[in-house]
Amino acid sequence: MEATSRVLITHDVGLSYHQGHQRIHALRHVSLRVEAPEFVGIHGPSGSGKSSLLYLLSGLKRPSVGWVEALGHNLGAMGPEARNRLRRQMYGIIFQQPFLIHFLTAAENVAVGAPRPNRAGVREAERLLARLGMSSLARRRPHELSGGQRQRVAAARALANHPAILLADEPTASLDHHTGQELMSLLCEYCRTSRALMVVVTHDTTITAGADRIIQLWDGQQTCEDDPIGSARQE
Amino acid sequence: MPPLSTGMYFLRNRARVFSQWLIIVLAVLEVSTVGLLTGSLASGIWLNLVAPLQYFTEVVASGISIPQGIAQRIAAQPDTAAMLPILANQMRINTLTGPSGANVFSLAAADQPWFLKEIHEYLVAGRLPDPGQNEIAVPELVMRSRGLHIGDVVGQKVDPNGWLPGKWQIVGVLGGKLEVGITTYSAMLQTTALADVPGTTEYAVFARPGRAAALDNILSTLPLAEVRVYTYGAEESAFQQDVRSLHLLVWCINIVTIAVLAIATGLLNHLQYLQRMEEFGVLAALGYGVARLVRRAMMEVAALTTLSWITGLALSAIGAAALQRWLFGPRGVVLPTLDARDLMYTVPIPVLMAGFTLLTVIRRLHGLDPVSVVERRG
Repeated sequence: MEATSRVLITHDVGLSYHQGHQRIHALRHVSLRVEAPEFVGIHGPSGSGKSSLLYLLSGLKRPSVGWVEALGHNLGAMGPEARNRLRRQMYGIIFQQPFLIHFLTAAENVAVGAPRPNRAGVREAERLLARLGMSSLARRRPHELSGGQRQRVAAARALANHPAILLADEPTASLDHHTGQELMSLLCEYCRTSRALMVVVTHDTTITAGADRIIQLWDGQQTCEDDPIGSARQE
Repeated sequence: MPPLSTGMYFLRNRARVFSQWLIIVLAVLEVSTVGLLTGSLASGIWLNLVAPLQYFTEVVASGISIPQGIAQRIAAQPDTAAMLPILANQMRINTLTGPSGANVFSLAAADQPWFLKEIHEYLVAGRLPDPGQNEIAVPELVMRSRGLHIGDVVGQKVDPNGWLPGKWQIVGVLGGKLEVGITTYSAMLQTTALADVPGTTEYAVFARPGRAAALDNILSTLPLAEVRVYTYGAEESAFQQDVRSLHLLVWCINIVTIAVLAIATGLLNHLQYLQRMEEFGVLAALGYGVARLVRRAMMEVAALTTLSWITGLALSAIGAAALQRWLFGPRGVVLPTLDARDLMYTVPIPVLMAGFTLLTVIRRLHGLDPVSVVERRG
């Protein structure tokens, strides 16, 4: 799948769902444009709709209103298989928990994120782990890794397909400050060198200190866009 | 090995896979063993009641003896090659399914060599019985099954569990496929009450080569009030009917066992896949389509059930051969080899198990929401 332009756009998107008889609006009128090699942080308290926005950006959820465009593709107009293919080839996603497959080694878990998760993919994953300074972890299983190591392996998995779009949902939530900073440096370094765009959802303003822009969400609505220093000052 | 391959899953989850493998293997063993026992029972009956009729037709008096006119009518048939006065009795043989009968034919000493040649039996050891003597040549299998030796005496008079009337000394051992024993006609007449009966009570009628069916057709028209005619065609057909009924009964029992095992294994599989929903959910979130995840699950289930089924069959065959070699063989009990029908009985095991598992797992994978998986907080 050829990326026409490395841009991620949401046009006045909204996401709502029913909870019993009540209609919940998770997101309302969110419009943003992120262009490679931008690093955008999305801040907001719990329940502000940060993760929902990430699911819309990744195509894991479809907006109730508005539309999302990724690399020139309207995600809402794509079929599920095409959307999956786009996600597999062009996206790197880091979840709040590493979600590694328990019976695979670190390298094999990383290879799962590669375009072709075969033996060559595992060798490539071992090289990637070595580049990220984790070669000693390559043959270990998830239960033999610390929480921080697991999250770094999950980050490596997100990079295994050389994504054009990197999305991270509270990637440092389960890590100590130092490990969290290390992980963010790793991701920023990737974006710089690969000219990828990155969107990081977090309520921890320190990890988006290096972001080009910060978008604030409150109660499902975009309240303001700011520079990171200003955002940190607000906190 | 590719990380998401079936082989990798099996290799890294041996304990999980082993439990399912074991259930299927045991199910196949159970069903094939029942098939083997049924086959053993059926082949014993066939050997005793049907097999000799491949070579001759038995004509037995409905009354005390066969009327002279009927005997002359049979002898006059152009398709009749020979007509030997004969007496059919049984001696006990121990089989897998308990005591059973082996044929003992009594006929004139002069007729015995020709008779044995016609029915493809031969003397393995000793000699044939002397005229008028209570002597017997016993089939090899009976000798082994009862641990008999030449010189031993058998019969109801010396053994309360014996089937053969009177008392008979073993003078020879007979080999061949029919497993029949031989005594002399005159000695058997003396031993049984038939000595005082005028005429002949039974004939073994041999047809000319290639004319057995034609002769049987004619013999079947003989009046039932006078004689009963046992032809190979009729007995084989009746036997096959009985075997079909027996197999139907066994099949009904098997299908219940298989259904219970399929549901149990299916549920076990279902639980194991439920535990793996996080793995499938994350793969879906990373962009692995439902079709690919379903294909992966199908491959795993198909490979496991097929491998288990093949192992079960191999173990059944090896087990049966080992039992035959070291346990039953020395005791003179012949286990039949696993045939296509036994294998057919076991086919529903992997099919039902895979079907039940896939039905539940595919349904769940189609309804899989990756967001609900990744939203779970540690």
